[in-house]
Amino acid sequence: MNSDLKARIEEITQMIYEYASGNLDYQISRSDKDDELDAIIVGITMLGEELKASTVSRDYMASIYRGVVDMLFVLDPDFSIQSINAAVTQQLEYGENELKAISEVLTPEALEHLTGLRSELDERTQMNAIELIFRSRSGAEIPTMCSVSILFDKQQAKSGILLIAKDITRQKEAEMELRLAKEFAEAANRAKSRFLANMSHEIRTPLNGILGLTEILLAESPNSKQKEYLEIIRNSGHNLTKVLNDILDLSKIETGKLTMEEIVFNFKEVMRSNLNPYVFLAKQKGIAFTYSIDESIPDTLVGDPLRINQILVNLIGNALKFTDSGEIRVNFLRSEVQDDEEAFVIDGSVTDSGIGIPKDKLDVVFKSFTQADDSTTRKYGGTGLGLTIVRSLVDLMRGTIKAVSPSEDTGRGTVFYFTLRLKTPQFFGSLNHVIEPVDTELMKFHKSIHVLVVDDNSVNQLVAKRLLQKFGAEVTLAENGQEAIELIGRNDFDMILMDIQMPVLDGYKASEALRKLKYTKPIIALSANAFTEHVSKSFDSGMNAHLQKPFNPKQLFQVVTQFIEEDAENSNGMTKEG
Amino acid sequence: MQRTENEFAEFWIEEGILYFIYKHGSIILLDAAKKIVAERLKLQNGVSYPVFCDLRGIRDSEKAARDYLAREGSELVKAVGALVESPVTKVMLNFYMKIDRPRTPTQMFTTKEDALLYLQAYIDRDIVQAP
Repeated sequence: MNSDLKARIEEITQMIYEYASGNLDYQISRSDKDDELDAIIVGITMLGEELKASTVSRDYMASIYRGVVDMLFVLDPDFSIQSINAAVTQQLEYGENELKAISEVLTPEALEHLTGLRSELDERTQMNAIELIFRSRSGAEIPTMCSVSILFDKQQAKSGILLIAKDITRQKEAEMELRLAKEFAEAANRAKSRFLANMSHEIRTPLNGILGLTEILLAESPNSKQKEYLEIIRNSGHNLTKVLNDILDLSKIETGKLTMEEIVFNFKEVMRSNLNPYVFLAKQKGIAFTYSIDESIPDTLVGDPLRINQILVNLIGNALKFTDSGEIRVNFLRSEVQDDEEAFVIDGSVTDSGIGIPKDKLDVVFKSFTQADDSTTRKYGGTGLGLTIVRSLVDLMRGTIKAVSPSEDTGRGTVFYFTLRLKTPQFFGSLNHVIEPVDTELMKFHKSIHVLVVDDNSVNQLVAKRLLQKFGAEVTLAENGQEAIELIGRNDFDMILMDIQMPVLDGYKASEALRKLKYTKPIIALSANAFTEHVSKSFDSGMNAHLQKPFNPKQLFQVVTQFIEEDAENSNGMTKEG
Repeated sequence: MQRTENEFAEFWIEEGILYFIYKHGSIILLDAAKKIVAERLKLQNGVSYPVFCDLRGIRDSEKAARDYLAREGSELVKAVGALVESPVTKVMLNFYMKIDRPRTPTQMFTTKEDALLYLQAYIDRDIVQAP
């Protein structure tokens, strides 16, 4: 071998040694011969370039792997493991080279899920938001949110699968806590509803006695001092009833159980009837009360007159409470926005010249248990529920409400603007319910009737008996459902007024038994239970109507009269609708 | 017959084949590769051809250029018949075919006749122009 050839071979040997030592930048020059030795030098140089590129690429990727806190798996197409990052060894408690396949660290269900996604993954090349549960060496289950994607080589051939798994243990725990909290809140809400129902019943029962006997005493010519005291008792009872009703309504609103009736009624007459008493109440306080109803509003509309009145009671009640001088004005106008062929929209407003509401409190006053400030509660009283209920009622009528203070017209007081979206009768059908005002002076039954009053509370027995006798009825008393059934077997009663909660046999069971015994006359529930489901249960057990305690003489007269008239028309018996 | 020439190569189309001849001592870096591909595509005017590529003049090439030619250099190329002579160009082309894997069929020849014969199968007869 000549010395030149020997020197070139030594140079090539050194080059290989340098490359093997990691010095990939080492270069030697070629001769101009382009011979086989030059070819070897070119080949080794090109190989070095490729090695350097892949080493740089590998080191770069390794540094990315280290920075990733999520578990990262590079898999073969058959899910055997090519490589993993440090997060895998840390979280799953395996050594770097211990794991051979992803199946070793997935639960059987997760592996089945992943395997089932294989064909879809091949088609889409990337899939996100896959939940898989990993299992560590010590058996701990780790819920993860995974993204899976196909890896391609330089020639765009599928070379593997990249699976990145994010530990979502804390998220799952939070979800569980949230679910438990929701279940707890729902249970608490159910308990609250039960409590409200019980409380309502327990308060209404004595309240009925107080108010009923007050009415009876007022009708028995008391002297002026006695009359004054009795009226105070009556007003206090009515106020307590309103608070009770507000609390129950709020409960219904919160549980979505508050519903609107659709009744055909004479809007103008009902509004006048509702508004007239306020003229006197305002006068007593030394302030003026005026109202106007737009002539272009139709007489007959369809809606829930009781709930509309409830809106007025709250708004006007507030106006009266917070106004010491000046005036209160109520207006109903035909709205200029009539955007629904089946609806008739009315713009209502209640304006007062009272203390007004601070600008920053105008929205707050519609929230539960909220008044403009605490001093308002101390000075004027109230639960702060009225406007919350008003807004919910207006919402249910698909209307709007807002408060403006001070009034843009007078520069003082408050104006509540609201819309009522009622239906027009031509889109509603027959006039099945028309509320007729009752003249309290003419509360006498036009025929003689015999009524059985079933109630275990002796005060309420007395109230019902006295009122019915005053209206002209003969009354027999029973203390529970069982006694009522026995009495009916021996007497011909025209009607039964039935309490619900009674010892021995309650009102529901007694009514069911009576209907089974072919008793066809009206049974009217007189109940301190106030929730919709109680009313439904009364009907389901065969009763014809449900009168809620505390009731006033007018309500009792009205419901009994309705059945007397219908009995006259149909002497064969009663229907559920009465 | 339209001919194009730059500092690295000269190329023309003749009887349905694109002839591409590297100049002696050419060193192909990435910028050179890009220029070569751009001018070739301009000459082809959107038509694909089989390419006779005479590599005998190449002195050296860098990895980035080879990677680029393997990917972008395959555009509008039906097949490549590559002519080599020295052991150095043989190693270069072998390495290119095995490592860079060009997308179009590429074969190595040591005679021009064999290379042109191989390319006959890829000639689109409808667009063959008279010399």
